[in-house]
Amino acid sequence: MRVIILLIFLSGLLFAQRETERWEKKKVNYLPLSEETEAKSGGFLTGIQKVYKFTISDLDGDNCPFYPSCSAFLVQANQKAGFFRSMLMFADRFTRDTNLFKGKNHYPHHHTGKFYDPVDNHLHYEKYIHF
Amino acid sequence: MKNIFIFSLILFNTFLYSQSDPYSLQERFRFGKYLFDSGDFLRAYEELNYYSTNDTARLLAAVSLSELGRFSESNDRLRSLSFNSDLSQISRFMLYKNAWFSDDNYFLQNNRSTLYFPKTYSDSVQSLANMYNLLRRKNLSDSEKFLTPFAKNYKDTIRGFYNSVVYPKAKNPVKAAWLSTIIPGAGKIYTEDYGDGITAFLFVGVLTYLAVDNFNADHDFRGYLFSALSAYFYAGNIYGSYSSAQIFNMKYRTSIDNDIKKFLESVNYFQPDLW
Repeated sequence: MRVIILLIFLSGLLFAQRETERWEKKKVNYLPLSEETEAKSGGFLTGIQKVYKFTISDLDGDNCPFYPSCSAFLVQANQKAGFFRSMLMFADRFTRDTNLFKGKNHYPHHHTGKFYDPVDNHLHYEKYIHF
Repeated sequence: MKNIFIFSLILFNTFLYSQSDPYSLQERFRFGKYLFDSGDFLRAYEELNYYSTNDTARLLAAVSLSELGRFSESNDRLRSLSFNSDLSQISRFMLYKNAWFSDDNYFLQNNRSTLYFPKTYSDSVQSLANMYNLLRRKNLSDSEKFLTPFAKNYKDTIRGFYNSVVYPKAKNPVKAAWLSTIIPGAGKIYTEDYGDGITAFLFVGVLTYLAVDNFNADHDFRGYLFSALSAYFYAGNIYGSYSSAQIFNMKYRTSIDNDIKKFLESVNYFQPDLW
């Protein structure tokens, strides 16, 4: 019995985190800020997005499966299509976000690994739609 | 003495096989052609460009430039070969192909007859022109006339493309929006976004149920809150169904276009063999 416990214990060590791995220096990214995180000036919705980012998103983590994220989508939609349409677009996006069966092939994949769902695809102009 | 004699023989023997001038035009041409055959078009062009008195080298240099996407430079070289050269026919075809790639609609539509093509090339040119029109969804003739210039073994594939373009599997955005107006999520199901449609139906359904339930229990504030939310997501779903139909149509179109382009690459844009 003791041998089995010892074996289990020792095998656990094989998968243990290396001490240095956790604390080692993080790789710094010097690339320009992406469209998603770029600070946009002015606007009521931008203000709400900043408050949301500071109070919820930064603490909760980058969990939105879409690119741009739902909050960034709302701000971008507001800039491109105005307040009323952006709210409708956001309602649709939010519904699609809650769909548990989004599927691998339903959306194209952005290089960040998220589903690529740009605002342009929802402006109701076919010529702007891209994948 | 004997050893020196043997050594001298061996030494002179190697001279017989040594390359006389590796930078001669003929050697550059041979090397350039080797690079061209192996697909290294940039270096091939650099080597072939030296041999400006040889038509084959000039043609290969022009084709290399075309492969590199430098169409105007390629056209300059091809024009100089288009007349009074044994390679005039393939040069003219390559001019036409370059116009295809650089999306020069005016050239494609107007210069086809003036660029005299013999039978071997005229079918290829006509095939290319038809595929161009097919991708642009313009000037499409009836299927039999459209398929005439294509080789027999391609006809079935191209008929498939033609039918997909002329009779597309399209969804009507207005119909999708109306369907979602009648039953939330129905428009999305119509556009084959089944998961989104069911989610939208449940979303609006649950919010409406909560609104009614709260009104019945005299919780007016909560009732109004859930009613507003329900109406908001209902309207968003109608808007989204319209988008969904448009996205479906564009996805379908893009996939057909990609298939056509892949096919054209596989048949090398109907280009007859260079040699």
